[in-house]
Order: sequence, then structure tokens, then C-alpha cells
Amino acid sequence: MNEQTALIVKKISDLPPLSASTLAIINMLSADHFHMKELVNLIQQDVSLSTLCLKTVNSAAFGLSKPVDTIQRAVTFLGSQKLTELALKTSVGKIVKVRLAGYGAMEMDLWEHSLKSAIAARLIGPNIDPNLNADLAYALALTHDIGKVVFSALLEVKVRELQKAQGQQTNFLAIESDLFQCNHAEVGAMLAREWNLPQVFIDVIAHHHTPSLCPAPHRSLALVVHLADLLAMLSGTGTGVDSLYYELDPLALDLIERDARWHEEEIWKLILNLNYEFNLVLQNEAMAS
Amino acid sequence: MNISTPLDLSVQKPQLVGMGDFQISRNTPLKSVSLGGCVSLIFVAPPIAGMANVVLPDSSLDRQKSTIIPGFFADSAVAKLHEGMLALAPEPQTWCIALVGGGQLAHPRFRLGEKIANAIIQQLKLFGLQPHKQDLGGNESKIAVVSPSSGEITVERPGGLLQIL
Ligand SMILES: [Fe+2]
Ligand SMILES: [Fe+2]
Repeated sequence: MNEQTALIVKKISDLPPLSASTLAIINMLSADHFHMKELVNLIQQDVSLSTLCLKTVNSAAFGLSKPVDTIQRAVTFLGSQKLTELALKTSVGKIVKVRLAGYGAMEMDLWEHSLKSAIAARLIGPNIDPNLNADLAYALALTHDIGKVVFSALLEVKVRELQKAQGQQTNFLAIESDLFQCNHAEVGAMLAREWNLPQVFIDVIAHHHTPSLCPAPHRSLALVVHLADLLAMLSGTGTGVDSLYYELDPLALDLIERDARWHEEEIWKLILNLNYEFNLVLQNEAMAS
Repeated sequence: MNISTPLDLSVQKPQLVGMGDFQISRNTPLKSVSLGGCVSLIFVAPPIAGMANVVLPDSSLDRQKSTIIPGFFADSAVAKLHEGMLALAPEPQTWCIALVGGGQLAHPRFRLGEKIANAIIQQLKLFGLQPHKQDLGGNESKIAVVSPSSGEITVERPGGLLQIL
């Protein structure tokens, strides 16, 4: 094993694992098989998630007149969408709320970028494929850049080479691959495999910058995440040195050329709605905590 | 409009101005969030400074939102900042106006930053104003900081690189 691979492996094993309940929720989402009863059981076994559910329904933002004290009732009030969001945000948040020195990203940058991409994926998902599972698109977008948590350590070692490469070309993924023979999307997929995430996560994380190369069954989800990532970056929520340094995949270009819903003015409207929703989510989070 | 004044002048901790927000300050430095494709419009006339982080070129997209979040659109941001500055620094000929940000995505299809900047310049013209300083374009996401007391505008690039504009 060379030094670089050893560093990747070590970084991956240093990360906190996803909680059992989050993993189970992710599996339910991917299998499109969602049962409230199973969900209640799962949450009841997870003390921190149970507490969070109760805290959320009882928060001022939720505006209930009487306090809710059982998980069963909390789950009814929250609904499956909110619940999966809560579970995922807690688990993923623990991992991505870190300063990424290699990317020049502050502690909350990757978290905010991931969250904004997730909100964007929910917004645009139905435009791209009406049969798409919007909760799954949300989960995939929330985790799309998870590889950066590991990859940042590699970039830190070659700061000067990175700066030089950025002066010469504008595709960050190619820069990563040139310098390290792998990129954050591939490392993210390694991480997804390590965590035993379903195949759709492995495929979409690996191809979030190259959806046209994604295996067919998951290609439209990869395209949704690719465009959601772009909208988050365009609207000013990137992750540092790599923000705006990515190319559009041919699949996305084709969509933008032929579909009126992706004309410039429509993209502006999307950005407006996205920022609006994103700020609401941030405000509610601040209120709940 | 929020007008901030520091509790302790020696601390000078900058006040963060979010995406689509605008702020006018006496003495307290103002700092933008990381701008991406968005453009930070800055007015400074010591000891007063104003900042709006503009996300879209035109409020005709959503007039209602432009009254709630005027900093979001080029036209409403210019009008509001102009009005706020006039109240505290009534001589526009003493103002220094700067534009920072407007990063471009690698693909030419997305020239949002350029469009926002052009829209701001057009709107400024309506008030007989024009930008004196600019740091626009490029692929990096920049952060702008303005110190109202010194009038200094600093641009921060990823990796902590600082430049005085
Ligand atoms: Fe990425
Ligand atoms: Fe991303």
C-alpha cells in the first residue's frame, strides 16, 4: 500500500460511522419501501434521534399548542419526509461539519453546501424525472461530497502543486486526478462502500460530476445531484478553493439546451426559491437549537 | 434596514452579511459570506459603509420578494443602499463604490456573475454613480470585507489570501 492509499484508508476509518437507524432509513429509502411502524421502532432504539424528534415537534418553529411526549405521536406530526431529513442531517452533519483545510473551507462550509444541494435536489428532482423518489434525491445530494472530508487531507500535502494546477486549468476534478490519481467523488464512493450504503449511493456519489458515466438505473438521480450541486455553487454556497471550478456534464448541457425549464430566467427563479428555502431551514435549525 | 454600531470600538469584530442581505454600518466592519457567483456591492464613506450581497440581476422576477429581501436583486439593492447611505453620509461624491465577487462557472452558459455586475452598474448610473473599484470574475469564490473607519476594502480568496482593493 502506498503512502497516499494508507492515508485515505486511515482517514476513512477515523470517521464516525453512520448510526444504525440512519443506515436503516437509507436502506428503506433506496428500496422505496417505507413503513411508519418500522420507522417508529428504529427511532425508539436510537436515543439521540428520539430526543431530537421530540425536541423538533415541541420547538417553537413547529407551533403545536400541546407538548408531544411519545415517539409515536412525534412521528405522526413529523411525517416521513421530515423524519428522514432529521435522521440524515444529524448523522451526516456530524461528519461534514469540519474545517477542510485542503479545500480552504471553514467549519460549516461543506455542511451548508451539502444541505443546500439537498434542498435543491428536492426542488428540481420532479423536473428531471417525475417518478423520482425526492427523499432519496435529498439523501444523495446531502452526501454527494462526503469524499471531501477524506480528500482534504491529501490536498493539504500538495498546496503548492494545487495552486499551480489551478492557474493552468479550470476543472477541479481533473486537477485532483492529475495530482493523486483519484478524486473526491471516487473517494466518496469508497466511503459509501465502507459504510455499506446501497449501490445507488455508491454510483451517484462516484458520478456526481459525471452523471453521463453513471450506470443507467441511477443516471437520472446522478443528474439531479449534479445540477443541485451546480445550483448550490451558483447561488454562492460552495466549499472553498474548488467552488465554480467544475465542468458541466454533457447530460446536463443537453438538458439545458433542449428543456425550457432550464432557460436562464428559470434558473434564476430556481436560485431565488433555493435561497429562500435554504434560509428558512437555517432559521428553523437555529430556533430548534 | 439595520444600522449596526459596535459596543466596543476596540474589538472590531466584523458583522457578517449573508447572501441577499444588506447592511449599513457605522464603524463596525462588514464581511460578506463566500460570494460564489454573487456580487457584493459596497459603498464606503468613513465612518459609514454599506454592503449588499446581490444574487440576481433583476427584481421583476419577484417584486414581492424584492420588498422583503431588497439586497437579493441588483435594482432593489442599489436603491436601498443608496437611500440608506444618503441618510448617514449625505454627499455621494465622497462615496467609494466597489464590486467584488461574480465568480464564473467554467461553462460559458452561466454568466450570472457578469450579468449581476452589469445590472448593478446600470442601476448605479440611474443615480449618477459608478463603481470605483472592482474585483470580479475568476473561478474562485471570494469574500469581501469593508472597514468603515479606514475605508479599506479587503478581498479574501480561498486559502486565506488577502488583498486590499
Ligand atoms: Fe463534488
Ligand atoms: Fe458539491
